[in-house]
This record gives sequence, C-alpha cells and structure tokens, in this order.
Amino acid sequence: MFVLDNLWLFLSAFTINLRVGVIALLIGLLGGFVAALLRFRSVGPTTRLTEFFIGLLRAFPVYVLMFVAINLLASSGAFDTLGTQYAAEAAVIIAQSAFTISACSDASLSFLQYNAVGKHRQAWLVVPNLLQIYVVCVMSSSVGAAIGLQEVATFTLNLAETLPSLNERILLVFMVILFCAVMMGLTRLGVEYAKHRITKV
Amino acid sequence: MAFVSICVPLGSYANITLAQAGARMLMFDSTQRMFDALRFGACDLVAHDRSLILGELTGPLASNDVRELYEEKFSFNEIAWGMAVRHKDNDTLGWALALITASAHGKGRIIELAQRYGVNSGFLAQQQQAWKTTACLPPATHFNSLMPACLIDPPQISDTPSVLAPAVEKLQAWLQQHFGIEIRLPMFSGEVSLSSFRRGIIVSIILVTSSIIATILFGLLFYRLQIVGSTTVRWLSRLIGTLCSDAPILLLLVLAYLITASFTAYNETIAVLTAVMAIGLYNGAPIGLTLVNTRASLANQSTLRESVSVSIVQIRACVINAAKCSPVGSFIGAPELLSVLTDITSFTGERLVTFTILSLFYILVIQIIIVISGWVANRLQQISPQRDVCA
Repeated sequence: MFVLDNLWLFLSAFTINLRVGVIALLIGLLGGFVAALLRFRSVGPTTRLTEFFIGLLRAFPVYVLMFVAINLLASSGAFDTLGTQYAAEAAVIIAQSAFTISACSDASLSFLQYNAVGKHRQAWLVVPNLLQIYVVCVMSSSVGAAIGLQEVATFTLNLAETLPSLNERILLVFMVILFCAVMMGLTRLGVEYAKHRITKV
Repeated sequence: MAFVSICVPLGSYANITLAQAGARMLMFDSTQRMFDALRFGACDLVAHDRSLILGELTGPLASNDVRELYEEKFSFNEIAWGMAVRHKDNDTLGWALALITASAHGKGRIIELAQRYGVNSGFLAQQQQAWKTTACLPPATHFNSLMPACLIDPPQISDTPSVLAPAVEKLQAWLQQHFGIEIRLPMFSGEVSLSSFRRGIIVSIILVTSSIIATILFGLLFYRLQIVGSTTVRWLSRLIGTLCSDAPILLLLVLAYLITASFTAYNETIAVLTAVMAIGLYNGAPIGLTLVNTRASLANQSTLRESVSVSIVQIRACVINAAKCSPVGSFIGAPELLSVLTDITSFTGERLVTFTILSLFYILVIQIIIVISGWVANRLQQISPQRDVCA
C-alpha cells in the first residue's frame, strides 16, 4: 500500500529527471554537432580551440558546475524570472549540458567520420550512442537533489525521512537504486542490441 | 547538523555557526525566495532572525495554515537587536533614541509588544529590570551617556582578519586602482575563512586521491571475485557490481551514509571514508566487469596484466570519473572545497570570485589526473580505442 500510494508521486518526480535529460540532450546535440563540425572540417586554431573547449567541458565535474550555475543564476537575478524550482532545474540542465555537449560532440564526430569514408551504416551507431548519453544524463540528474530540485532523488530522500526505522530507509533507497539499475541495464542491452544489428548488416 | 539542508540568507554572520556545525546550506539573496524554497521542500530548515520567522511562519501575523505546518526548532547566536546612527548624530538623534529605548524598556512597552506578538521575552524581561529604576539613567552631571555598566558590549560578529589580510587588501586596492576591478577575496582575508579554505583544499586532495585508490582496489576486488570464487560468489559479485555502477551516485552515497550511520557515530572523517567507499564502488565496479569481459575475450590463461593492458582506456576513464565524482562527497557532509567555499559564501556574500576559484581548482585537479593517468596508461600499453564504460 505504501508503495502504491507513493508510486505515482515517484513517477511524477521521475518526469523531472526525464525532462532535464531531454533539454540537456537537445543542448548537447546542438552544441556538440557544431563542435563536431569544427573539429571535423576546420584545421588550425579553430579546431584546437574547439578541442580545448570540449576537453574543458569533459573535465568539469558536473556537480561543481551545478553549484557554479545556481550561484551565477542567483547573482544575475534569474530566480526572480524563473522562480526557485525552475532556477534549480536550469542549473542542473546547464551542468548536464557540459557532459552532453562533450559526449554528443564525440558521437557526432564519429558519425561524420564514418560518413566521410562511406560507412553509412556504422555512422548510424550515433543513434544508440545518443540514447545511452540520454539515459546517463537522466540518471545523473539526481545530483539536482543537492540544490533542491524536486526530482526522484529528492522525492526518495523526503520519503525516507517519513519512515520510522533506519532499515526501512535503507530498503527504500535500495529499491530506488534497483529501479535505476534496471533502467540503465535495459538501456545498455538495447544499445548493445542496436549496435549489433547495425554493425552486423 | 550533518546531512541537514538549511535555507539561509546570503551573507548572514550567523551562517558561520551553521557552517562550523557541518550543515548543508542553500543560500538565498531574497527572504521571499528562501521561504518559497522551504515551502517547496528544497530544505529541511530555514535559519533567519526570529522576527522574520515569526512574521512569516510561526507568529500571529502568519496564516493559520502556515503556522500549523512550521514550528521553531531551536535558536542559536542569541544577539540583541540595536539601532545605529551616524557618528555626527550621536549626541542628538543617537541620544534621543537611547533615552526612548531605555524608557520603553523600563516602562515595559517593549516586553508588552513582544508578548502580544509572541516574541521570546526572556532577554526583554532582564532589560526591563535593568531600566525600570534610575540607576542606569545618566547622572545630572553627565547628561548624554547612560551608565556604561548597564550597556551590553556589541558582539564581534565578523571574521577576524587573517595574517594574509593586509596583503589581500593591498591586492584588492591595486586591482581597483589599475584595472577598475572590484573583487573580494574573503577566503583569504578572514581567519575562520582562511583556515576552512586550507582544510577544504587538503580534504579535497585526500578525497580525490583516496577515491582513485578505492576505485582501483574495488575494480581488482570485483575482478578477483568473479574469476576465483564459486558460482554463487561470481553471480553475487556481478549483481552487486552492476547495481553499483548503474546506480545514481547521489543515491549510492546516501545508501552508504545510511548503512554507515546504522553502526557508527557519524562525523567528518566517517563522511570522507563513506564518500570514498561509495565513489570507489561506483567507479570500481565497471573496472572489475571490464577486466572480466576482457579476460573472457582473450585466452583463458591471460594474466591480469594483459587484461589491464587491453582495458586501459576504460580503466583510465573510470579513474578520471572517480576524481570528477569526489565533490559529490559534500552531499553527505565531507568537508571538501565545494562544501567549504559554499559555507564561506554563505557568511561573506561573495560568490563570483569564490566559485571561480572553486572551478579553477577542480579543473586543475582533473587535468592533473588526466595527464598522470595518460602517462601511466602509455607506460602500460599503447592506447587502443574501445568502448567507454564510465560516463
């Protein structure tokens, strides 16, 4: 009964993770594809500058970037425009975008390179790779709990606080971890299957 | 206070106390947004001057619905409020306000208002006792001063200057004079801030180093369990490894925190160790699984060294990711640099320089890890392109 009572709320909180993932992926696709084009076509300083920028994004810890973003948003008065909840969501999206831009840039670069040598089928490996980037992004958006984003980790922690015993709290967190692991596992299987199908034909 | 999230006003001196207690603070430069965050559940507690708490949440001016939802849990840093005037107005307006306040205390006007609006009146009762007689009022020969023995010394609420404070002030003045840049460096200029900053850097370096070591050790442990153990051990270790590598790092940390808290008293050292274990499991599990898969793809008699050589790209990615994950330790109370600088920001109000320094520190640390791990990888084996398992 406890599970059923909270399942809908849990899934509702999970939609925030999904939304953050979608927006961060779209930003990543846009920024990553442009970066991949620059890395693929240009030579000289532009390529080196893009490589440096992508390397910087890849090295920037998402968790730290999220705190930098939330503080910069607060300093710029974005809280007044967006409100507390959306400002936190924006900070997580900005932080996740560092990951998605660098990952999508690598995936897009592979896509362009395969296409350039006529391996069009292998080029479409970009699709399962993007799916994997999306799922990783959704799962890691749980760091938003640290700045108050009302997503699945925050929901779990708030729910855990209502439970009387430590064992029940441990069980709850474990169940959510199991849910996330199943999601990741299914995605990985799907991605492997898609890659296998693409490269086999 | 570890693991408790508190919404606080940016720049409040009282945040020093919360920072020293290890609370996780969310800062707001507007009180309305702070109370909104409390209502949205972004924080467990809100810390502010009692007058505002009474007005917004717990006092008679707050709505019934709000009063039912919130209550005052505890108070700290009890400091009396006062009024201030410019030095040149000291003998005129200042003196008038002093007499009015002393009279209002003595006649019980202030305590009457406090009781009407539900303000804690213990301090005001003491003040009424002090000012209701003429003993504290000025003698006829010293018209413009109250009796010093009856006055309370102003509390020292700011951070004491550090040994670097003079140099920092010179630097700030030089930047202002030559470039028109106005910056503040509170992490260097205050004694508490400087001490916290130094400790944050040391803890961060320890956390990063320990997380990398734990990642490699857990990787080897998962590998050994899956090649030498019984079938049950192999499957169990694979299941645990998959769970650890696919779990959101934040929830894995919380799980580690809950398990740790169930059998030991929680403190900062335990928080760091717990974070190291969780980060090590999260990043070590994929290393173990990769080594096992690599071993399976090679001849059965392949050595660990051969498997490591073939899987070095994935292992390196996991090691780098372990370093990138280390700031997450602050979520369960590990006092690393992110946590410390957030605390410093909370009571100094300076954000821009503070978070720039934080970013530079972590970018530098991660770049060093990338260079060192690249050097080690090159020493072991020529890097071959393979699938990344650590995102």
